[in-house]
Amino acid sequence: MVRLYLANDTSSRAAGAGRLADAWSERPEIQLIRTSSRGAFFLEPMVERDMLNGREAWFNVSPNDLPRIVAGVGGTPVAEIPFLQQQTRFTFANFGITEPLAIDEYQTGGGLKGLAAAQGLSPEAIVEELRLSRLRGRGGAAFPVWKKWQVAQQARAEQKYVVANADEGDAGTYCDRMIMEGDPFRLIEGMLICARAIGATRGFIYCRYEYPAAAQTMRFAIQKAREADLLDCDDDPFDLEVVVGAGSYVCGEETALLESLEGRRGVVLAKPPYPAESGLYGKPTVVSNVLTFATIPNILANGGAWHASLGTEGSCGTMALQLGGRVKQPGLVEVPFGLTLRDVLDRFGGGMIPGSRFKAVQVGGPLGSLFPESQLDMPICYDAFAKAGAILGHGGIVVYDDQTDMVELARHFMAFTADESCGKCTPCRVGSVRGREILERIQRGQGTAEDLILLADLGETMKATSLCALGGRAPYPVLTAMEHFPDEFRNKLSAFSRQQ
Amino acid sequence: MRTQYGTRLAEALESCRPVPPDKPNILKTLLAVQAGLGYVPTSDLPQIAQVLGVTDAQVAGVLSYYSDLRTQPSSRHLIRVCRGESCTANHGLRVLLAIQDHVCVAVGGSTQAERFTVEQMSCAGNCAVSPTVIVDDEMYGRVVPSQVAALLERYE
Amino acid sequence: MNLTINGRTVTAESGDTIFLAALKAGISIPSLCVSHQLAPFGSCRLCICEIDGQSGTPASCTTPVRPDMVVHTEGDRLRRHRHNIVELYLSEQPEGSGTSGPLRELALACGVDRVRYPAGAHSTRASVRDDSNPFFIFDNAACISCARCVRACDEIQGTHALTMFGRGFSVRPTAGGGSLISETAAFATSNCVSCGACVKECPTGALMEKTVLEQGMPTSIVRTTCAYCGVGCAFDAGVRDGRVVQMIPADDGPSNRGHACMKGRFGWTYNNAPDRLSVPLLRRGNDWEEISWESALDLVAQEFTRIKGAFGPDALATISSSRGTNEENYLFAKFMRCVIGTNHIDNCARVCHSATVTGMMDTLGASAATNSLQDLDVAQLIMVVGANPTESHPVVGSRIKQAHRRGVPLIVIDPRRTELARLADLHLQLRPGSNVALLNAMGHVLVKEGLLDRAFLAARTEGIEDWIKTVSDCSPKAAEAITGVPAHLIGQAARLYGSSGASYCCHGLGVTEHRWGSHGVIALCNLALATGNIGRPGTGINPLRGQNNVQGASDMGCLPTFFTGYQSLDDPKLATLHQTITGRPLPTKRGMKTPDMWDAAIAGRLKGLWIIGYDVAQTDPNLKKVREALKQVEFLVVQDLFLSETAKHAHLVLPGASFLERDGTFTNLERRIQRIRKAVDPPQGILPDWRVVCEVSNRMGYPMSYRHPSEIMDEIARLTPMFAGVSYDRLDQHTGLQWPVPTVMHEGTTLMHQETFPKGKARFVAVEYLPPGEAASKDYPFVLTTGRILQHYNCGAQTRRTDILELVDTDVLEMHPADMERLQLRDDEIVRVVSARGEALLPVVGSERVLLGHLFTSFHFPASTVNDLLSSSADDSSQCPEYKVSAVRVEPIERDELDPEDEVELRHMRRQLIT
Ligand SMILES: Nc1nc2c(c(=O)[nH]1)N[C@H]1C(S)=C(S)[C@@H](COP(=O)(O)OP(=O)(O)OC[C@H]3O[C@@H](n4cnc5c(=O)[nH]c(N)nc54)[C@H](O)[C@@H]3O)O[C@H]1N2
Ligand SMILES: Nc1nc2c(c(=O)[nH]1)N[C@H]1C(S)=C(S)[C@@H](COP(=O)(O)OP(=O)(O)OC[C@H]3O[C@@H](n4cnc5c(=O)[nH]c(N)nc54)[C@H](O)[C@@H]3O)O[C@H]1N2
Ligand SMILES: Cc1cc2nc3c(=O)[nH]c(=O)nc-3n(C[C@H](O)[C@H](O)[C@H](O)COP(=O)(O)O)c2cc1C
Ligand code: SF4
Ligand code: SF4
Ligand code: SF4
Ligand code: SF4
Ligand code: SF4
Ligand code: FES
Ligand code: FES
Ligand SMILES: [Mo]
Repeated sequence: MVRLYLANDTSSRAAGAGRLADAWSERPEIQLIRTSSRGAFFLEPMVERDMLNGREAWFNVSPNDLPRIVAGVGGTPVAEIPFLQQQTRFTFANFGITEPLAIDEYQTGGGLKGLAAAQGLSPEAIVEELRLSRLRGRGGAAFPVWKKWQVAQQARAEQKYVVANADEGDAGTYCDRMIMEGDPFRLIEGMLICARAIGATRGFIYCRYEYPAAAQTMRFAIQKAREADLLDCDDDPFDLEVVVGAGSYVCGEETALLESLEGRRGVVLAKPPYPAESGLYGKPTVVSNVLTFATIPNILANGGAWHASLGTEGSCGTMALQLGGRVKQPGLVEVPFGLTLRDVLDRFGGGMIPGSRFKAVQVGGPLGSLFPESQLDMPICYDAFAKAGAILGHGGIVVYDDQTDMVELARHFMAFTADESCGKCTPCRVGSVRGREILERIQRGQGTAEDLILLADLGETMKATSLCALGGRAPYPVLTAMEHFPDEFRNKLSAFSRQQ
Repeated sequence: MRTQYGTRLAEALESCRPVPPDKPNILKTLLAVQAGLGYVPTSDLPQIAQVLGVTDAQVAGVLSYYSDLRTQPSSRHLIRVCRGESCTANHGLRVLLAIQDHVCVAVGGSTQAERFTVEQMSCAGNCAVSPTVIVDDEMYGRVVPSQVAALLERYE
Repeated sequence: MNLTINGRTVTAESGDTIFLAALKAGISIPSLCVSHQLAPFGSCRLCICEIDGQSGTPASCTTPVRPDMVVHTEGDRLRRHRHNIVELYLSEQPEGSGTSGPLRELALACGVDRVRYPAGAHSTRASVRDDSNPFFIFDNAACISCARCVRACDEIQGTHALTMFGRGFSVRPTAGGGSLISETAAFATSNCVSCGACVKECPTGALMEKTVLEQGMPTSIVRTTCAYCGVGCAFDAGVRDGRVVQMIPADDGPSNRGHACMKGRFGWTYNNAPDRLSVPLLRRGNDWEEISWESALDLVAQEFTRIKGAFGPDALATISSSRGTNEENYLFAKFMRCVIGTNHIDNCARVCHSATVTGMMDTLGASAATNSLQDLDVAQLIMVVGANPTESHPVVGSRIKQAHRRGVPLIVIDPRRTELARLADLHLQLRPGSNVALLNAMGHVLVKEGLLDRAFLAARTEGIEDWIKTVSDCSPKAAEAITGVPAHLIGQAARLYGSSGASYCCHGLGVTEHRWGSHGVIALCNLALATGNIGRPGTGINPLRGQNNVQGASDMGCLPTFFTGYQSLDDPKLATLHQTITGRPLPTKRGMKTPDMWDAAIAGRLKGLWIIGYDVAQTDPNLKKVREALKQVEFLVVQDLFLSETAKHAHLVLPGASFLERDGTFTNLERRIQRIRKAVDPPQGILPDWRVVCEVSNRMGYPMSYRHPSEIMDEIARLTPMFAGVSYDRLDQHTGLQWPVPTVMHEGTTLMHQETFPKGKARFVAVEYLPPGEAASKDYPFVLTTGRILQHYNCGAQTRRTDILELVDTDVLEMHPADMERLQLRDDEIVRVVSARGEALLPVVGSERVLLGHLFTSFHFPASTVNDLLSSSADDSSQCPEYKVSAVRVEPIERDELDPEDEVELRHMRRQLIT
């Protein structure tokens, strides 16, 4: 009997892995192991099997390919897949290899070493290790993780909480989903280390409604971890629970997330107080992104200095970039910070889908700026992006081709903000709708040159005065579209206006 | 019918009855009701509020806030089309239009025989295999307009 | 700390926001959504500022100050953003809806002369108008979705009747399940208690009083004090064209801090009721003849002189009004003592907190709240015993809810599941009339578990041994049998109360209005003494005194047993002083309490009676007897705003001026003497009550020539050590003065008994549980408790003449749903309640607020004749009636017993239970 490996994550299944599994379920000659996905989604469904020199893979497999695979014909050694070969995988090291819910495999692959190391350290020493690692939050704001933990650690309270932000609302991102579906114990381990560092006895994973499989896998993993006696924090039982949202992008913002976690309207709160001082139920709470937590076990296992040695000066470690849109090779790319956008698109993205031409790339989800061809030499790191007024966000990279209508795209972004605005602050609540309306007017051919000025003026006010980054960043994709593709906007103005 | 409904509502509410010191959680309760009944009937709002020990207003506020909470039953099959950026870049809009054409219904609406309800959704996290369409619990990736008819054929 | 705002050095406290620091320094920053009553929120974004060394433009209302920060609140960039935001606000106002005043002003200030978003081409606010609340409307067109109203309802009032609804652009406030169910009647179908906090907070007038909409904005403002309950909320009465059009709770009101309740906020329109008395009425058989003030005053003087001459001073009595001012009460008492020469004077504290007076006198030596309402801010635990403040003292109720939301534990001891009981950490749901058993058992636990404050006991108290002996027999188990409260809950309550560090206790009529009411008060005082919960901030024994001036009426000596300031009638020093100042001797013989007066009248000993602002014929117990007594009196004068049930028995009815029409002072439940000020003229030259006494006295040969109530207060101060430092000059400060104020230099007393008690040490008085006057029996299987509801006030004379009637227009009988089922009764069905004394017809409703076998009803509608059911049973030492326990049975009634008109009326009954 041949052991075959087939990914079981949502995207692999959407690409057809599920159909393969169904078709092959009765075949006696194979044993199908459902693993996590390597993240080379352009190759999914991808089937692997153990060969003499390690695993070989068959790409874009259809049910009829089975005989070929069983015969061992036409496979590619996994180690020779360029897309994977060129990556530096630490956080995603297990992907495609292990079964998500097998604790023993997790441990064999180096899991739980970080937790063990943390258990040998005082809470202060854990935070010190994080300080040395120079890890910054991967959820978007890129705030130094140790600072947040330190505030929570030093706060006096009878109850503290650890919350994983698994809302992953940015379109174009999916690495949190992959972690939860593919390597759930890594998230749990990261949260346990945090719990120990700050003295929390209760944790929540706030998972978006759109990720039922991730929520379910996490629940199973928590159950397994509990059965394996993993869930304790200094001998206190650590109570970990998955809570599901209900469709609100703002609920990814930490204060709104905590409101939602308490079951209320997911409306953004003014800071201070910061969650680390007064968060869930008014108690000190560390809210960190799933990827952030998943990065921590390796840091504790290998030392903060190890992590600081990766990447660039201000952006240490690796980043999980998620390629999507019109690239030939969409998928997950874990690399140290510092590569240029062009590098990533060429080397990993493999260029454009045949027949389409590059127009723009958006980094950082719906609030991220658009970059034209001319800006592709921008290095991927927090500082360079900040300097350009852009954000790296959660590492989503979406490529648009020349068929994209930039006015429509700009309208799409404003409409997104208008739909998702929590409605608390005026510039975003009213401004996003006005912005959308202006763009719609332009699309209808009724726009004037004054409208473009008004849009820019409105955009500046939204940027400067919005309470949270939804309203505050919403103008960026719109204004960068206008900046880099001015003609598309001008050409749609009313005939009268164009003449002027 | 009504009694079965009543039992399911009661069960959903019972599972969310706050156990001190935990505070009542309105969102969790509404999701549980929706899981049991398929939607949250507004006529039962006072009962939900009472079980939780909160006010009608507090429940209504939450119910009206989250786009995934529905106050109307949906059709037998719920089609959700991703409107995220990667799907947009990969011409997900064309897929949406194809679906609307095929089942003759606008976004948010239901087909006549209550076979399909069509909705848009935010990014499904399937961007690398986009554009994405989800029918009930099944997700489809790399959907092109020409596949739509065959795809929907499977749902009665 | 210091910081710089717009180049000026400004001092602020840590925790202040930039906005607040600026405000304190007189720098105003444009704003709409900030309120010092509410937590920082940050919705409108108008208050943005720039901070040196920091990028961006944070909102000043949510940004805390840091030492030495340099802030700018003006500047081109900020101005432009503000302009753009106001423009956005204007752009969402539907076309044709007049922009609200505040927004228009802001537009002017920010230079928004035109909206660049083309009119008609964009979405505007949904047209939603909800005028289902009787007192105010909501108009979404004028709303800016700032959620101040919602926050007010949550943070100030604690009712959570409002929510923001939807999200994004369309988000707007709505009441209850409103927008899902009935948009235009959201308020009416919600649990809103019409406190008005949302209306006050609304910055745009989207929420607006109907009186203002109908009659216009006030043109002048007069600061005064609410005349309903003992909280004594400070209000600014808004006057236009000689009429009050608005009552706004004052932010610097010491007891209310800007908050109020339905009655004070909106329930003042009785002032203009069409059937308000305006001329004196003389009985002619069954008819009334309108007579002049001259002849009315002559008649009183004549008849009182005649009766005094014929039967002696003791044939005359007065019941003074706890609704009246201190000055009036003092004058009525002076009239009886100096002109008539008797101590036959009482006030309706008798039926209310008289048991508190005796109980606290016996133990602490002073009979008023030991602490102040501000202590609720520092209390570590709050225990509410036999009181329902969210309905009876709503502003106190809100403050307790605020404290509880901050995490202060709450214990409620009440047979009913009141709103606070529902929220409480511990609700001890005892059987009515079993307070002493429960409180003694708490004492038992305190003793047994060593939770006594030994140092305090030794230094400040005496008699602890007796108490320890008594409570040693009262185990929680034994108490469980009597009270029905599980023993372990009694233990928990005792531990919480004894170990919190600062336990604030307040109590109400559920303690006093019992056969052994004084004992209940004593048992409470014992607990406070045993644990040292007295004389410190956040502690104390705090009776929630009922009427606006029930504290004052007693303070002023309208008692048959005490002179002003509870001075003993047989004090020789007082006698001399009295003689010197009034020129008349002070009668020393104790007078009659109100119930004694009824006996005396029936026995023919009492011939003349003057009742001011007290509807005994509706609110005293055992009404058959009261009516009988009133009929026996030869000359009955009643002074009231309306032709009350009592006035209907009078020979002469004198119209009264309302609190909006006269000057004077009220003393609230925290001993705070506060001014009321004349805002409008009384109708048709009505004399205020104090002038009436003067006129009668003058006519009886004892001149009273005060030109203004302040002169009366000066006299009170001279006669009363406790008030020696009180004068109108000093009362003009917005905080008033809390007695005792022994000297003109003294600041008043927010906290009593800090070092010593009036008699040196406080005294434990051992009391044992004794059963109530009546118990459920085979014939009368239910125990009926009577009390109040939020919406109406006592005899209802005032509240029934306002739009409150739209909310609640009947007393209802609350019965446990299981009892309803057993008796096969339906909601709103009319039933007959029968006691050994009489019967009453009431609609019944199923209510989880009462225990099985327990009934509750209010007594605010004369038509329900509730007090016909009650007995004359009363507390031994104070004569406080046993309103809280009566044995009754409930019978269904035959249809034909109701006349068709009643039936139609009852079918449309309106009621709202506060749960
Ligand atoms: N809205 C409104 N406010 C008012 C008034 C009004 O008529 N309407 N009247 C004012 C006046 S005059 C007064 S005195 C105050 C009174 O204010 P409260 O003292 O609050 O008066 P009640 O509602 O009569 O009774 C209070 C509580 O005592 C409980 N109780 C009954 N029996 C017992 C018992 O045996 N033990 C215990 N522990 N509790 C018991 C009742 O269930 C009730 O909840 O309110 C004042 N404020
Ligand atoms: N069943 C039952 N009965 C009760 C109670 C109970 O709990 N249960 N509670 C008892 C208690 S605590 C109290 S305090 C009494 C209260 O009972 P009452 O004192 O009878 O009732 P109030 O409504 O306070 O006011 C009495 C009258 O004062 C008039 N009045 C108001 N303001 C003025 C004014 O400025 N000048 C003049 N001249 N008159 C004015 C009003 O018009 C009204 O007719 O009820 C008692 N009755
Ligand atoms: C509109 C908005 C949406 C956000 N969505 C997410 C999200 O989906 N996931 C996430 O981790 N952080 C999100 N954030 C950032 C969080 O507020 C927060 O900074 C983050 O969870 C902190 O975790 P980190 O320090 O690990 O990055 C969002 C912020 C804003 C303003
Ligand atoms: S901005 Fe350039 S130099 Fe600075 S950290 Fe990023 S890659 Fe390095
Ligand atoms: S910017 Fe938008 S999402 Fe953020 S608080 Fe303001 S209204 Fe809400
Ligand atoms: S009137 Fe008071 S209770 Fe009613 S909604 Fe406004 S704040 Fe809430
Ligand atoms: S009604 Fe007034 S207070 Fe409430 S949201 Fe609208 S503008 Fe603000
Ligand atoms: S709480 Fe009492 S004093 Fe204050 S407004 Fe209400 S009735 Fe008047
Ligand atoms: S954009 Fe559609 S799945 Fe992410
Ligand atoms: S006043 Fe500060 S944001 Fe509105
Ligand atoms: Mo009272």
